[in-house]
Order: sequence, then C-alpha cells, then structure tokens
Amino acid sequence: MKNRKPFTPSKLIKVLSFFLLLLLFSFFLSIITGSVKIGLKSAVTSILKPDESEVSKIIFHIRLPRFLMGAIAGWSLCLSGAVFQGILRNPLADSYVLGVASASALGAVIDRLISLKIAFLGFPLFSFFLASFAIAFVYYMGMVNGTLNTGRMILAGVILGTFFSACITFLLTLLPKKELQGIFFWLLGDLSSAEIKSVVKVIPWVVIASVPVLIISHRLNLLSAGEEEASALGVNPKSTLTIFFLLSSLLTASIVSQCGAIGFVGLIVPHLIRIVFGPDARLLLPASGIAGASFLVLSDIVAKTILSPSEIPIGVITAFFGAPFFLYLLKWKRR
Amino acid sequence: MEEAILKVERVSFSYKDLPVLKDISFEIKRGEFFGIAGPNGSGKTTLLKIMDGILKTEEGTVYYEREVIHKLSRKEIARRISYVPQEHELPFSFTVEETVLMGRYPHLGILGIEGKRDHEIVRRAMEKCKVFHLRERLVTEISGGEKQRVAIARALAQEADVMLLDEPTAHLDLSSAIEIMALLKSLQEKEKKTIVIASHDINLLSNFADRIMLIVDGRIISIDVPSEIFTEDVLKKVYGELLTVVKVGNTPFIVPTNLKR
Repeated sequence: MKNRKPFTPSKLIKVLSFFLLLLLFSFFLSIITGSVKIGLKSAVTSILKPDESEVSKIIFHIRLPRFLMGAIAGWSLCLSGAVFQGILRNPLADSYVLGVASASALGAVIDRLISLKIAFLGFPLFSFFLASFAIAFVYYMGMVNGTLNTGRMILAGVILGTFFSACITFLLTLLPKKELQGIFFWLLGDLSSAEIKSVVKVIPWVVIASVPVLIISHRLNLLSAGEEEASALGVNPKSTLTIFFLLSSLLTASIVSQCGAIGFVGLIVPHLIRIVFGPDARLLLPASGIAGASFLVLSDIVAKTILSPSEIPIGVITAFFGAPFFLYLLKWKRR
Repeated sequence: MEEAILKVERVSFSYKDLPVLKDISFEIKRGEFFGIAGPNGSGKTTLLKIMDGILKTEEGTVYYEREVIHKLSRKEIARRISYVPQEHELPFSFTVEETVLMGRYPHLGILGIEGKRDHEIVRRAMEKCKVFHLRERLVTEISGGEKQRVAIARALAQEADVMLLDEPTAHLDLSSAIEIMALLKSLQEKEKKTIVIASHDINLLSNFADRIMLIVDGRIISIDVPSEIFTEDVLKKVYGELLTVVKVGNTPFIVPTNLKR
C-alpha cells in the first residue's frame, strides 16, 4: 500500500463500519443456514417477535448462541493473535504455533476434570495460568542478547505444544470411553455445542481483557521496534509486556476452554488486515477482532453445511486453510 | 552554554561479571555538540543507554539538570531526552510518516491518538530531516541513510532538548555520513538541541563536535576540544603505534602511521 495515510479516528470509524456490516451479513447468513431451512423473512420476524414456534426455538436455542460464540471466539482469537504478533515482533506468531493454544487446552482439560469448586463465574483458572506461562516461556526462550530470534521462538512453541498435547492425551486415557467423542470434538475446535449459558460465561472475561488491550494498543506499535527503542520513546517495556501477555492469554484461555483450540484464525485475519490497512495496532487490533468474528462465523457456516447433515469441527476448517497459509508466509513473506 | 544539562556522576556498570564502565563522571553543557569516541567495545553504547535511563546504574547517578534520571517515568524521560539506537529494525511495514509519528508518544494522552498539532510537528520534523518526500514510503524499503534520517526525525518529533545518537553513521558511505553529521549540526544551531554522539569515527567527530570525550575499556582517557584531544600521547595510549595525527587547519585528522610521510 503505497499511499497509506497515517492513523486517524475517522479512518478507524470507516474501516470498523465496513467490518461491522460484514458481521451483520454473516449474522443473517448464519441464522438462515443449517439442517433445517429457515427463510430470511421468517427468521427476521421471529427475531423481532419471538414466539413458541419451531423456528423461534431453533433460532434462539441453536443458531443465535452458535453465532454469538463464533463471533466472540473469532474476535478474541484474532485480537490475541494480533497482540502476539506485536509483542513477539513476528507476523508468524499465533496461539496455535506458539503452544499457547495447547497450553490453554491442557488447562481447560484440568479445569474440567477437577471441575473446580472455586471456579469463579467460569473463570478459566488453569487454562489462563498455563497460557500465560506458555507465552512468557516462548518469549524468554526466543530472546537472545536483547533480540527475538524467530527460529528459536517458533521451535520453543512447537516443542511446548507437543509436550502439552502429550499431557492432554495422557489425561484423556483416564476418561471413560463414552466421554471421549465429545472431548475429542471439543479439542479440535467446535462451536456446535455452543449454548447461551456458555456465551454468558465467556463474555465478561473477553470484555475485561479486550477493553484495556484496545486502550493501550498504541504501545504495541512502539514495542514492535524492540524493548530498548520502545523504552526510549516513553513506554515502560516490562510492565506493558506483562499486561499484554496476561490479557492476550486470558482471551485465548476463555475461548479455548469453551470452544477448544481453533487454530490459525489468529494468524490469517490479522495478517490480511495488516496487508490492506497497515500495521498500526490502533486500527489493526479492533479491525482484526471484528473481521475475525465474521471470518469465524463464515467458517462455521462452511463447517456445518459442507458435509450436511453431519458436521466437521470448525478447527478442521480453519487448520485446512491456515496451515498452508502459514507455510506460504514462512517461505515467501519473510522480510 | 555554561549550565550542565546532563551530568554523569561516578557511574559504574557491568554485564554479569564483566565490568563495562568504571567510575565515569562528566558533564554535558546545554546546547553543545558532544562526541563520545572510543574503539569498539569501549562501553559507548552502554553509557548512552545509562544516560537515557534504559539501563539502570549499579553505582553512580545521572542527572538531567537537577532531576535524577532513574526517578523519572519513561514518558518524562522521553520528553527530555531522545535516543537513536544504532540498529533499528521495524518488523512490520510502517510508513515513514507513521514511524516519525511514534516520536509523539510521550506527549499523547491515555488513548494515544495524535492531534492536529502532533501532525504539524511531525511534518516539520520530516521537512527538517529531508524525509518529507518519503512520507508514504515503507521504512523497510528505503536506503540506510534515509532510515537514519527517519530515526532522527522521529527523535526530533519527541521535542526533547537532548538527542543521544549511537553510531549514527556506522553503516553509511562517506557522503551520507557527512550529510547526517551536517543535519545534526544544523539541529544544534537552529533548534538549540544538545547533541550527544557515540562514534568510533574520530575524524568525523573532530570535524563536528564542540568537545570530545575519549573512553577506552570503560574509563575516560580525556575530555577536550577536538584540536587538543588527539595528542600523539593519547593516541599511543589508545591505539599503540598504529595511528598518528596530522592537522588540517585547526582540525586534527587521524591517519595510519605509515601514511604520515
């Protein structure tokens, strides 16, 4: 983009309005698609005037929660993906590649197994703890003499991911067979079992993590120049990094605990937004979030229609597109 | 000119067990062009980072006027002192204008959104550093000399009175190097900036600096005006018999000894 103008609030509003329209479009599409055909007109009528009809039930109990969960998951994964890329100064960073997703998944399995009595309003305790550990681990493993080494970082993430996956498999062997199918589906990333109850559980944590991230997003621009340069420009790198580490881990953990590890969304969407609108985090973060919400909802529509009436876990769809995309970036898009 | 803007008092620093700076004390006057010279590995970069508060001192104190640097917040320091590191690599394709705008960060509110005045200051900083015509180009696709100008423009946008620069000419050819030094000289004269440069290029420093401080192995050898500092005696201490001084007018030039004839 040669003629890119710098960030202004009006540019932000224009771009976000565009993606909100896209989200509105994906909302209607997700309401009318599924194993039972519902026309757009009857869908709109039953949203505006809910009644006891079959259509209303399907919309309010199945499709609306699924849309909401998909949108929230897409928002969170893409927002945290963009944050990971900023703090690790690497367009290849993604919770899946860095082992953060596996860490959250292991934490979520532990959370489920011991079904924590102390679980406070559905706070994903172990999931959050392990995710924060994973991102901090990868950062410090990748740091060599003050610069972040891409190879070391990704290798550390992959190894960590493999280790946590092995732990998950071990824990799963302890489970009775009939529960395995459900957990297996969930691990691959799944929105089909989304309920309004789980949506309500996730929302507060996503809000608590998203608002501060968006407010301090400009610091991510400065941090991408490295800790010392950010420091010279007036950012306290240690405390800022810690805030970003914790909040992006919370975003990932909340989603993974409910929907499993949906890979590569956090890589693809921020990357495309960066190509079109530039790397300024003040625009990149919210735009990636909203675009990611639409992207995941649309991917979910593919997941539920392509082999209809049976469904594919959405994580399979995103990995199917995401893995080749990652390889393409790795080989051809390095600076 | 007489008031000290930066004062380094008895500073020592080591990386792990390796001592890098040993009991360093000196003062920099407001508005002067101060050169820190010395061979590679003499501790110049560490010293600059300590002066900007990026590294914490183990012993000793750095003062900005009467304030102790490490008691100020990062934003407060950034409004007083700007720092241009030797290597600056942005991993993402920011444009030149976006990069220079980052210099406004210490003056922005909590949301970090630039106003009209910020854009105006950035425009002027780009004009002074002659990068205005490059403003929509990506920093990843401009030349080394241009990158250095962008970094200086960003530091200028910080509106700090002191500019610290680490080897600003290290990777540049001679004419680009002189252009950068001339730009810094003009910032000293027209913008009343205090310029502090660390460089191993003593000839370039002699031509532009008001005073030069020579450090070797983390110790100050001497501080003086360029015409006085490079005596045969000092050179012998630092470089052995390898180098010698010839004077062109009042400016000393250091040349390899066997070229003196």
